[in-house]
Amino acid sequence: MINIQNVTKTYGNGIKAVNGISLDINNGEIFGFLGPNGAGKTTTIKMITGILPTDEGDIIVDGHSISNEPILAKMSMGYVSDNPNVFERLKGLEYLNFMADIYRVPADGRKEKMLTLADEFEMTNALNDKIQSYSHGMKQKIVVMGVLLHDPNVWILDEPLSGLDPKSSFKLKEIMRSHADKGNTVMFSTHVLEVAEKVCDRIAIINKGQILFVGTLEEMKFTMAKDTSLEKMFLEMTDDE
Amino acid sequence: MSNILSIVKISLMMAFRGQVGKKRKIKAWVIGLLMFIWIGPMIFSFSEIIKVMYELFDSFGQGDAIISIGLLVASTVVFMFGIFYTIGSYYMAKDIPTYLYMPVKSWELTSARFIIVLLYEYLTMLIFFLPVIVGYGIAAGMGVLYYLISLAIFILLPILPLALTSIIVMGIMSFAKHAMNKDRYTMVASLLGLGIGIGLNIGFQSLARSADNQNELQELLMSGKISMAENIARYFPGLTNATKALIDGDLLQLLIFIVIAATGFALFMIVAKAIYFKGVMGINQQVSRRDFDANKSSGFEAGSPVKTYLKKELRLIFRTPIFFMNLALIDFLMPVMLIVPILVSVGSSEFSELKNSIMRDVPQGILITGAFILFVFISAMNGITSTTISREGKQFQIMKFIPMSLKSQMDAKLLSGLVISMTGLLITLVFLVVYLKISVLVALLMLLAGTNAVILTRLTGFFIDAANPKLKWDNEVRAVKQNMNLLFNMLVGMGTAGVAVVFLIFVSQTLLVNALVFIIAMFAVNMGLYKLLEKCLPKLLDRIE
Repeated sequence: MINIQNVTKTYGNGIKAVNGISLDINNGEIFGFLGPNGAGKTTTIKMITGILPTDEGDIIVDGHSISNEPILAKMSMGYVSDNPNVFERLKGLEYLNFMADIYRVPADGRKEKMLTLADEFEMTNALNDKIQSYSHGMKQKIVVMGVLLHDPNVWILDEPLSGLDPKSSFKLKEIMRSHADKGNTVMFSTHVLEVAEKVCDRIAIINKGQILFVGTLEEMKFTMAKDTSLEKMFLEMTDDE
Repeated sequence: MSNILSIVKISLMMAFRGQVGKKRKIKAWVIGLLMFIWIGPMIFSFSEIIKVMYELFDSFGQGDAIISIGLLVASTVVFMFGIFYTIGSYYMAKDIPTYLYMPVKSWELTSARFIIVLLYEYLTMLIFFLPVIVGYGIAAGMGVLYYLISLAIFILLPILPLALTSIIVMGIMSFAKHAMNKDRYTMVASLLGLGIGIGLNIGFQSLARSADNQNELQELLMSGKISMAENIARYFPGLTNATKALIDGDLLQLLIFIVIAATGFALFMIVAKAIYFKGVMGINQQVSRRDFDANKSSGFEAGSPVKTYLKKELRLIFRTPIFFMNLALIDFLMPVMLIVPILVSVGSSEFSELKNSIMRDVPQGILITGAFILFVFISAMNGITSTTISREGKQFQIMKFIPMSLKSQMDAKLLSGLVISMTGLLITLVFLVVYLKISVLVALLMLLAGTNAVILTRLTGFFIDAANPKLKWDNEVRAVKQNMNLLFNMLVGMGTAGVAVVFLIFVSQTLLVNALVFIIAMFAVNMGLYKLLEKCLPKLLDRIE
């Protein structure tokens, strides 16, 4: 579970990237975080993951404050950033083992876990090669595999589907669903509204640092009194701002 | 020609990109001013040393030798540095593949890169050659013509060594397509290039020496009957002409020197035309095996976070040619540069005399502080910790989101710098101890003082880089070679070495006092710095958004 409590972030140039937002993202749900470019999505995700400190408010991840208990909060989450170019001169296997050590994955069963994930993402043959020889999609896959190793209760993904081939994209959505169905929390940001429409249990729309809507697609249709696509409602909502 | 100029222009713009905006411009000016304040007096004091050396040599009629020694040292340094500069600039730079699909000829691209490397070499020459010109000019009371010829020689001198370096590098890299591991091939190529360079140098010298009877030569030199300047100048092609042009104001010799440099450059262009693209395409072919076998493979073992982080740091340094060559190699190169001349002089009576006098006359406190000075100097040139945050680049945020405290990450990063520097330190010390027959106690004290020196520069480097890391880079070359933090830490190292020299000369040379200061007190200083870094690091990194 993620609780965002009245969080504000102002950058050095005085612009409020996130302005007093509050959100509760529950266990067992896939939560989509939508918004136009520069709306505050990445800033919010960076504050949840501890990359950026909050100026005001706090964020609780799986019962741990990211400000006061950062290590415990980070241990309970897995984060896939929008930049898959990580440690390019490490081999795939070395990267996975690095992540396993950092996230304290026990030695028992570690090998099986890695091989199962590699098999699921069709990456087994490439494990002995350096990440720099991978395609964009393969890099994305190795990063996703890296955060799944410790089976995090909270899973946060920033634009996770960009660059993935249809099969891997389908696989990832399947894994997200099954992870949430086990009672975990999955939060991801995306620009692709069709994906949000099909995958998410609930969504939030953020624009200019403020939350415009939180709820299910049905609730959104009810609120806007329209039975139309998410795309049309999204454009209408963000255009008004 | 216009292609060459365009590539030079765009390469320079890339190098200095980011230096825009009022705040950055002010910062660039402040850095420039600080550099001038530091380097200006350094060139001045080197000139003063050259003047003293001139007088010493002049006392037996060989003052002109200063010029040929200066020319030889500058050519050798340009040659050695050139190996790393050219590999980085011709092959490793990220923008090189971009030119492969443009209508650019191989000799145009390499000529443009040659000019860029030449500009870097001029900076090196400011330190190694300018003081010689100025010091000699003043001491020998030379006129305007001398300074005009000096300017021409300054501009021309790096061309031939750089052309030779480029030819060697292009030759080795033309086989790159056969290598499975391109990074490893590049690193081996740079070491091989260096080896060939040193071999050629020794070849030139023995060729020059074999022509003479050594005893006769020494007598002739001491009596001033033949010129030591000319004798030394024979060790590198073209230097005889440059020496004569400078000493005698001989414009014909200058003309010959221009022809030699131009020939070197022409030869370089011919070789570039023939083989450059072959090498650059070879190095850009990604080879992957896709042959993982879970049953045969190891690499699933669990380890502590600090150990695994340290392993990651070392792997990235040793597998990234630009990082290895610019940051770590110096620790292995400096001991070799120190040990080889000693080994070469083994058996000569002067060396035995020097060795005996060290063991007999020199107060042992000098050995302790000497070890500190030597290693503070060498380890400051190792840029592993002074680029440690910068090297993260776009991956910097990983440091913040992984569940590992900044202190643990700091420890692992410090250790990576320490491991590499200590290896160089141990090789050098073991050699010195065995060869100079230093007692075990003094050797141990030297080790402790040297270790303190290494720890100190690891900590100052970390501080400097954490305070102002260069994270916006798309090219490893820019992350380390165009990173002022490395230079700043070198200046800190030189400054510290200077303070230690002053201490040695004016305060104490006794074993006890020097051991107390450079082992006990320095350890306390290092501990204080470590605690301070631990305290400041979260705040320093929090500022980066």
